[in-house]
Amino acid sequence: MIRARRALATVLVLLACSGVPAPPEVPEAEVRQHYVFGLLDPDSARQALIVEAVEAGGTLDDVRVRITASGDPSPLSELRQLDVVSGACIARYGVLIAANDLRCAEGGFRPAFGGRYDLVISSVGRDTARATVQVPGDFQLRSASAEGTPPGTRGLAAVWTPSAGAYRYLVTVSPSAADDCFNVHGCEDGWFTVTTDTQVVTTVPGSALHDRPGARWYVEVYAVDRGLFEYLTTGSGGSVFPVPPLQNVRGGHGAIGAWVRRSWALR
Amino acid sequence: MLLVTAPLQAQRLPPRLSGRVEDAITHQPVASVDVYSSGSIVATTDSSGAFSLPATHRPPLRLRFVRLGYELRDSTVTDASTPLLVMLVPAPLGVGSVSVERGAERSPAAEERQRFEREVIPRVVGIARAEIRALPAVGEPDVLRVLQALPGVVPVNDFATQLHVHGGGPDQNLFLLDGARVFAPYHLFGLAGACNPDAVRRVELFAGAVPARRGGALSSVVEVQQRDGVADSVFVEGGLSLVGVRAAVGGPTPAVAGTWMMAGRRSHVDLAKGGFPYSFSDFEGRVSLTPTEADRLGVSWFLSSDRFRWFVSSFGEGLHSRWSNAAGSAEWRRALAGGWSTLLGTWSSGYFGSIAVGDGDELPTSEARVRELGLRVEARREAKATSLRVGGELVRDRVELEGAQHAGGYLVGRSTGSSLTATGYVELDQRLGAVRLAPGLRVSHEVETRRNFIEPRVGLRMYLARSLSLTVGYNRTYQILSTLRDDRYLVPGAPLWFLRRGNDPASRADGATGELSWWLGTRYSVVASAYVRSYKAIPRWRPSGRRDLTELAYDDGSSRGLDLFVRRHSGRITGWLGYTWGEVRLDEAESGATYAPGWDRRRAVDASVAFQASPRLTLSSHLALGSGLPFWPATGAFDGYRLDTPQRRLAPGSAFPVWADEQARLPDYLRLDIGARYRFRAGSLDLEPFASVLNATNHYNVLFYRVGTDPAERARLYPENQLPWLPVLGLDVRF
Repeated sequence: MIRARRALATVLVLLACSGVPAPPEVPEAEVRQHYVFGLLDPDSARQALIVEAVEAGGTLDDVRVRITASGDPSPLSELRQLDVVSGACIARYGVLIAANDLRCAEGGFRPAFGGRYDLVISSVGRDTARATVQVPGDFQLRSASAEGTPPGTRGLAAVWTPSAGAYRYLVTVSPSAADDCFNVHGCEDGWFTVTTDTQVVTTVPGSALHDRPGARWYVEVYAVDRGLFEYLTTGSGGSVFPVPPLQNVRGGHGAIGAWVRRSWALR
Repeated sequence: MLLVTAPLQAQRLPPRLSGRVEDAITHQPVASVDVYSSGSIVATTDSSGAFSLPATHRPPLRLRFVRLGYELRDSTVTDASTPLLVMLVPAPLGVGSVSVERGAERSPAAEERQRFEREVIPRVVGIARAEIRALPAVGEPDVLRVLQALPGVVPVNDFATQLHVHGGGPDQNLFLLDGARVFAPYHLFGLAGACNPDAVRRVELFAGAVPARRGGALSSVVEVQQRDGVADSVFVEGGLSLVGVRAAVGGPTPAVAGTWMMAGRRSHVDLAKGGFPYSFSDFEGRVSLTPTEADRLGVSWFLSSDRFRWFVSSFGEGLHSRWSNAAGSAEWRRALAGGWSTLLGTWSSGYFGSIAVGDGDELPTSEARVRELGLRVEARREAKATSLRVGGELVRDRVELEGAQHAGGYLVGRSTGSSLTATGYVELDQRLGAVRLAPGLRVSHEVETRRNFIEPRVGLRMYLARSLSLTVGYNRTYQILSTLRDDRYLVPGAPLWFLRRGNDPASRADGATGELSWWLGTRYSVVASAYVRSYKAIPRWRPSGRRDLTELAYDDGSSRGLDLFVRRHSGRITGWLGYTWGEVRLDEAESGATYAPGWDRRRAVDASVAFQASPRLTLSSHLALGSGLPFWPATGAFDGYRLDTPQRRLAPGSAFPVWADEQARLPDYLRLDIGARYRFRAGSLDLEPFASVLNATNHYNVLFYRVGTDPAERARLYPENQLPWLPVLGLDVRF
């Protein structure tokens, strides 16, 4: 019994004498992938995509985006990395904010209405990412009317022609690029609805808009492909239960889509 | 029912107390009945049912008569001048495995052997009550914590008492309290079990293999039987610990022969000003009536409530959770002639759980509500070579799962479901010389979906030698009620139960288990076992895009393992040494990629020792070693975009995590707990203060990693610790 007590005491002493242990070694973050976001606009002759390093502290080198027609390996265009301050990216995506190394890949390319394209995104030392984009077909906004002050609060109607390949139509009512909106996340005004139809008859909730004397109001219809639509309308941030949005980039993260936008200025 | 008759005939005063035990139904003598006095066996009946106490034992005496297959009964003897005639009522044999008896203890080896002989099912383990009380715990004796210390049962961290048995998930265990299901039998987010240890009479665990009379869970069945009151007196017990304050009372019922018992607990740390933001309470009880020798009626209830409010960030973002259980059961057992007995039972179970996170007045809240009603009818026959059990169940389940209406909550969307299931089962136990064959079958029909579940359950035992036996078993089980569990996030709080939708598949497990048992006298036992299991349609929730049920997928997989269990049952030093090797793999339905669930601990060692240093002082320790658990590391983040309608363009949105495609493993786990109990008497009170030190070596056990950057802007994972070095004090009182 004395021997057992001594043995027990010895074990306890040895275990206790290990000292206050430091946190153990952490596993290395091996992922070196791209985050890509962008949309192809067939109304523009220049395209720009945002490319970002995924891992904290990662850097990007020689980013290239090769565009081919689906099923045809012949390259149609190659977007190349520019510096962070890029007019094309800012004009299309607004002020860019990123935690990691971010680049804008830009180049001359006008996608065809209804075209289908494969994009390959590469950079030095990273996994190659890929995405396929279905560009919606061209369409015409035939008519739009918005009654009430602000517009649409007493009735909104719009009609347009179908866009081949469009997954959803977004219909928005918003003032002109507001001079008094300095917040990069946008002002509070602005409203949109989603439909699969080629017309909308609805009423804008009064709480969504504020009267802006002197502002020019627009009704806009976006024909959006599936990849872009799902990316913009899913996911939730926050520090407790964040969930990434649906993404169509393979071998990386993010989404590349396309839209066709038609505007109607309200009187 | 115990009958102590008037003296059979006038006789010369015997030198010591003696008597005879008979079967109340057949009036045949009952051999091998243990007679207890003051917690020790003082006599055992011979083949004629006769017993005789040592000369040192003189009335008045409180005796307890214990025999497998009969109701346990107490008696107070005041007169030794005439022999006693004791009648024992046959009782349907309980299921095997862990058994905790209140009050007087059987000898540990006898307890274990009786449990082993009870059913032909592998993986039967029993823990003596003294070992449960001695095992150092967070606050007070915890049955679930003791079950986690057994080989083949994996705990995932210090804060969870959920059971992972033979590679199964935490929702794959059927937890029953007197026959009623309890859907969240935990307090403190799983840090402690919800059952008041003072109210527990027996706990039985089927690990991996379950009998045909139980279904609806893939991995195990935990049956908790509440204690009865005392027939001839009132008892009062209680205790104060780090967890809370508890009390239990019981006594005889008026008018009709029987007993009653009630027990309750409540936390106290939340009552202090600025106290801990968590509170819990539970209240349970049982009334047992024996209106005739052959009839026994029982009514039980269990109520529990937990509430947690915690702010996780300096921006006022909070995590709130609350859950409650309300379960009740009633049963009527009747002993018939010819070894037959019948059971008619009904139960009702209710559960509510919610998780809310965010800030402001409206928190995105996710809730689950479960209501279950059940009816069971059963007939049993016990004979020397053959035992038969036939029964049926009708169970109605209704489950409502409701998430937040907008993004930010744990769940978005809503799902409701109900099921009505009719089940029939049969169990046979046939003795053929040195072999026992126990085939069983469970057949269920789900009315709404018109699905049929056929579940064979087969056991075979071969007695290779007097103390050596081999037991093998095969069983199939189905499950349609599961909890929603994010594959990547460890979220504390209420479990959210859901029912399979429409054509979603039912989960299925097929398992084979083998066990070699070796009894070394009355003091030691050695059990080596192996199992292999295959799984079909195990739910996986890995939200992407939306946190709704459309992200549910169903994976197939398998598990296998080896257990070694060496125990010392009696003497001044008792305890066990267990070693487990196991492996669990699941295959993603979409890609076929293999991954490991969060409870895939490949190797584990558990050693538990209780040392009776003196009649009053008990020292104990528990050592747990384990290999690291798998997890999905977060490797970075990206900023999303949203449609900015005022600016008529896109604008940056929230930051989203990026998960690695390959899993990593947490570091190995080590924890040493030590404790001491000291019993003494103060007037009419039995007092037992106890002290424990949890994680006595202050080993850093990683709970999870959060991703961040170091000063050089490189990605880095920062670990969060589990339970640190923690001293615990408490006091148990008996009156």
